[in-house]
Amino acid sequence: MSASDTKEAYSGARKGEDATFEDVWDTPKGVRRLSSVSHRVVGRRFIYTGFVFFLIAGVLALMVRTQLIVPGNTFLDLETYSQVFTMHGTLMMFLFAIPILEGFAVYLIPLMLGARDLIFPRLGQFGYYCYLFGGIIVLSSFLFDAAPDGGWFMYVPLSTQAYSPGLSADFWLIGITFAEIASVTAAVELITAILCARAPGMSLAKMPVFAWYILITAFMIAIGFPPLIIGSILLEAERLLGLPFFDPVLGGDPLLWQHLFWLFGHPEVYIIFLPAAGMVATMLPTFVGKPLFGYGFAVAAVVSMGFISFGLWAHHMFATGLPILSLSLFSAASTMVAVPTAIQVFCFIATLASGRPKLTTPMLFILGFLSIFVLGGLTGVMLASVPFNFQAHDSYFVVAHLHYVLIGGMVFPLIGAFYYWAPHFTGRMMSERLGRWVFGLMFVGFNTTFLLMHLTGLRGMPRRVATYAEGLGWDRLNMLSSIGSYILAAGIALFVFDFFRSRRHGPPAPRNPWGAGTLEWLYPPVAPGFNFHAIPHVESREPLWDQPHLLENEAHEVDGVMRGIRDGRRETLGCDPVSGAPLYVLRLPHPTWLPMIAAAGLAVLFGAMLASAYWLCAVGAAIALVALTLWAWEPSDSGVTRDAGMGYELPVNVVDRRSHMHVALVGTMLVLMALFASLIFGLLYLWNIRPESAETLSRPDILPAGFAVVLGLAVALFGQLTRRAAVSDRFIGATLLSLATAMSALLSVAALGISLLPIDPWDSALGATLWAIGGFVAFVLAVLAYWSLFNAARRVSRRVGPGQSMPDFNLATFAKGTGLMVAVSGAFFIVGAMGGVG
Amino acid sequence: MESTLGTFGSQDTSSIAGQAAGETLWLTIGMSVAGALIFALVMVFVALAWRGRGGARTWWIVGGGVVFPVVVIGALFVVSTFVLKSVAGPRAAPHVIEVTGKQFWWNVIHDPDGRAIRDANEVVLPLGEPVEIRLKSSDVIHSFWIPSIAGKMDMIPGRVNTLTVTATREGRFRGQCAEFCGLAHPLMAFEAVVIPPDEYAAFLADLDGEARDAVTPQERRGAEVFQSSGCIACHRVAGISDTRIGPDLTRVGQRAALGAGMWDMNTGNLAGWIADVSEMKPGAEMPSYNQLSGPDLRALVAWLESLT
Amino acid sequence: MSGTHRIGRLLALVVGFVAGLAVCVIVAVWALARPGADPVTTAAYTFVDRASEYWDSVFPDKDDAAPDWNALAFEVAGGDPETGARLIAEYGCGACHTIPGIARARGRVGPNLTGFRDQAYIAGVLPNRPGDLVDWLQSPPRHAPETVMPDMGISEAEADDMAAYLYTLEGR
Repeated sequence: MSASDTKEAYSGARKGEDATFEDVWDTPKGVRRLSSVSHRVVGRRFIYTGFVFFLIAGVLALMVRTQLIVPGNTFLDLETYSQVFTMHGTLMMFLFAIPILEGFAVYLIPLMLGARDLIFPRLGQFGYYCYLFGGIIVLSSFLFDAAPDGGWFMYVPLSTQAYSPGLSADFWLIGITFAEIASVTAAVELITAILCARAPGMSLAKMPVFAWYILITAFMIAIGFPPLIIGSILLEAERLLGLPFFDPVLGGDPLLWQHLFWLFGHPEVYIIFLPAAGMVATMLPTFVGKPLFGYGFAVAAVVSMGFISFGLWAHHMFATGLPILSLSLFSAASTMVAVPTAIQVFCFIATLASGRPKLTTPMLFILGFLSIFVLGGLTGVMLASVPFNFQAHDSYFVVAHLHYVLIGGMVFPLIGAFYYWAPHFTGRMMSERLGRWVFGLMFVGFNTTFLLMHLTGLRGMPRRVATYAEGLGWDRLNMLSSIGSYILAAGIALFVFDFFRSRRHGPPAPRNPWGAGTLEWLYPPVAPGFNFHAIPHVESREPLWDQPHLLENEAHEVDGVMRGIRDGRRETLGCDPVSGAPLYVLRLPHPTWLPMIAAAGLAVLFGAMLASAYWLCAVGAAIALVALTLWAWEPSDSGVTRDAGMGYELPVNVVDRRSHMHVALVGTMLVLMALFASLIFGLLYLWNIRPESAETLSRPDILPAGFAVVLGLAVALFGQLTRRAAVSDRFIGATLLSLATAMSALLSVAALGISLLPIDPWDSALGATLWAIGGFVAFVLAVLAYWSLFNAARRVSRRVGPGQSMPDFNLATFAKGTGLMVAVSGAFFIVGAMGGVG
Repeated sequence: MESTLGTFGSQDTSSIAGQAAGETLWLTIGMSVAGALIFALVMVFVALAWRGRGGARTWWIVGGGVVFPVVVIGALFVVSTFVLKSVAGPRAAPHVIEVTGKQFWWNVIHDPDGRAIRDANEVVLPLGEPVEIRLKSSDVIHSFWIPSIAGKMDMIPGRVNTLTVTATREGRFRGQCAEFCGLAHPLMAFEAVVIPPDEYAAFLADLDGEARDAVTPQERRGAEVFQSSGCIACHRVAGISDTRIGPDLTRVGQRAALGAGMWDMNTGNLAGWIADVSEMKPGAEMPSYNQLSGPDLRALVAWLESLT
Repeated sequence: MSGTHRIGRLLALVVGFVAGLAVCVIVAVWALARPGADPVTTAAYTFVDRASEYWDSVFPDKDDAAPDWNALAFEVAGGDPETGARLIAEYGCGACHTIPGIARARGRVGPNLTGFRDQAYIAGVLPNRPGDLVDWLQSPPRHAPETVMPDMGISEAEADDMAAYLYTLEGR
């Protein structure tokens, strides 16, 4: 690629000058590139892989449209059609939309915030491989002729063993749950990176708005994905083990699945929309030449959207026979989301008015986004009206609405973002002329396809039908929709062509080609493996506009903290989460294969589960456990201080509440709590909906349950004591207390198990749910015990120096959270035992 | 509606034949017009902003982003709550019909609390009188939807949902399952027939009782074939068999459609159905009966058609 | 840019816009109309009819070649293939036969009627001639007592139309 000479010219990496710095940050070559942990490599992998899934899912969509082009078509048979539309939805939602946006976030966030990498680079690599292997598992179902065919929301009982025998549903449940690990790890990683690794001076209020969008999205993923993960595990347990969570005969309820699914599914829509809106909010100011108008309003809108999105899941279930009062409440909540959405739209419009907008290709896509998304939002408000929803639900009106929101709200900004950030990927500019054609084809094709679908739906055509009768008034609308879909596809194809064409023939991209204000354009786009030689002080949200000296010199000469490297290690700056003041030097890991091996171990585990080779499951789990242990088994870096330049004398990896490790742990606890809460939700829901089945349930044993609670509290107490001992460097005390923590955790597991023994989980859904809660808490306790023993082992093997008490510090927090879970579940067991259940 | 496939009733939310569908249509039209106006307004605003040149104001965001949506959705909420109460609010209904969704057809019981008259794939409604439709499922989730008469309601295993409808126009109206329920989901339709109340009473009285006797020799032969060839293992014909696995055939010849709203009921389709059901309705559990001799099959068809 | 240039561009823009709008409106009317009550298709047919009338009046058909006896042999007196196609769909023939040009006619119970015109016998019992086919359609069991094909109560006029359609099916 001849872009290499531009790289020479612009990178500012003068040979020899800072050679060690570049060597340390260099991405490994050849096969070893797979072991890279750099956010640039991992982010791009997410993006490219996501785009491949997008193209596959797009081909499936064309197959759907081809089948529906005339009534009674026989292009696909019923089974293939069901597989095709199920996989279209599944791939688009789980393997394209979220991962590709995470890819952009992983790539852009450190560059925008002035960090040299994400804080947990290995977690990024691990997540990527989970996503890749999970996606391959889902896709491979086509090879075994067992592609999922129950629709992307997998409603029970259709997806249970009785109505979906064979492996198709298992492929979905296992593959998607595996791939979701990537979303959750990326969420924790992004929360931490945004809060803990920003350029000096970048307070939360000075963060680029994209970071706000991603921060909120990441929190939503952390809370929104757990209900689906729990739902998938319960459903897989019902399929594999026959536990009756959703079986109405044994006190379960098919609607429990719908509640769990949409508790995830509705936030999911905003999880997809928000990052894309963040891209719009980033690109728009560049082409207007003025900062985003109403930054504060936009941030407030995004935050409130995050909250509201968890309160309106039931509007997907208006036709399930909910009581009229809940219908009204959920209807009101659903319309309310129009407010933050409208605020954002008007922020964008006001930004347009505040300068002189330039009609570039990304700008065209932004205008396309505005028009399509506004229309989709309006039909969304219509759907929130219950009586209208009774008619439109599960009809083509909904299909039209969701594509308006998702394609308008996500795909249009995404293609615009490709045109905007392409220099980062190829070093060259994409064609403005072809870009206009891409936009024109996509816009015309999209509206032809989906505008008409509103009418098709109102004319009574239900969704997910492989064929329809002639003469019901749907024939011609469907034909036009299909023609429109081909035009849309032509637009996407032209985009792909332009991307590959520009890799070779596009004009080389100069430094900051669009005249943007955010830090990712500080260096020439085809930078080497590192981000910043020195991390500049940031004084505004658009540093490249307000601090002209940043662009006056060559990028590597820009002054900042932490110039070069120390100790031959990759480092970046850790900051105070709120003020952005430099707090510590954050040591980062170097390329490693361990996360990939761990992900491969999980792939073996899940693949073997599909093949019912349970001994192989154990092997996979062992591989993953060993890899994860080795991953964690490394010397601590904390306990020393270093001169960071510009007058900062900073500790390495501070041991503190503000430490990135602790922030990440809190994020992880958030995920665990959301998982736990989903199970508790399930218990309370079933208890409420089928009180009669609680009466026949045998009671948990009260005494062991009480013991479990006491032991849970002991876990928290010992964890806290370990932390105190460790912080004051009392080695023997800390080791012994670690062992005590592990011991009480294991005893607590035993107590929970004994207390549940009288209950037969195969007998009733409530019993199965109690066992599921016990199992989940036991799993968390086991992790805790393993971690305590691990800490003790590290201490005994002299790996821990004075002041290196971060693992114990974190464990204490984890132990407190776990203690809370044990106490809550123990309390439920006791209430059940005392006859409260029933 | 005329169609080359036959004479299906209309399946269209704007071809009104029910009180709920009528009121919802006004809501739909109102919201669509308002939505189009708001959309146009926003686009005009975008165009003006494009030429704005430095004229952004904070009150745009407050006005357009908060005040305006709150007013609009507030008004919408009030209106749609009124419509909701009128469409789905509790009402006394003099008639009850129980419909059970099955993969991939509908089991219908008129007057389930009283005489429990069984039928399949066709719902008969009296004009202008509220009917409570009890919706159940015996396997997976289905959704009961007659667009011209009322909005949809899910049929969920383990639950009984009710939908109270009032038909406002005589005629045949097509309904279809609206929740994906398996491979043959697109082939799971039915017909709603609206008749005047006096005819409805007569219809119920007529239904009550055994199937019509075979008259001609061919019909008698058909009845024998029905009993000797295994049909009675699944199908009920009152007075002859009482198994309830497949659709009730007591008055199959009177229905307008065959195969859950998929084909016109006529000699040709019925013969083809018995001989090769797997082609006409993939996913149906009924086996194809191509072991019957020509005359036997023709006799069976003739007898079934005579069951009115 | 010169004034005429600008006017030309403006004109092109207006013409393009109006033409685009017209296309959209026509397509929308076509898409939304119920088949059978569709002004666009009706207008298109009327236009084609008028044009061909005009064409015939300008270039009258002077070809007086010998009649095609083979074609005439399959002519059904009074049969209208279009009506026949509709009747074939209505009577449910497709339940048992695969018939080209008839929606959902993919039956596998009886013979595939693709290229029916070239078939020598009807059901192996009657010569495949218009008169016999019309007879057969009205009551198959009368000609073949063991056949599974039922008497569907088709009238003679209807059978004429259906036969006319069946003889349009050429070449397998």
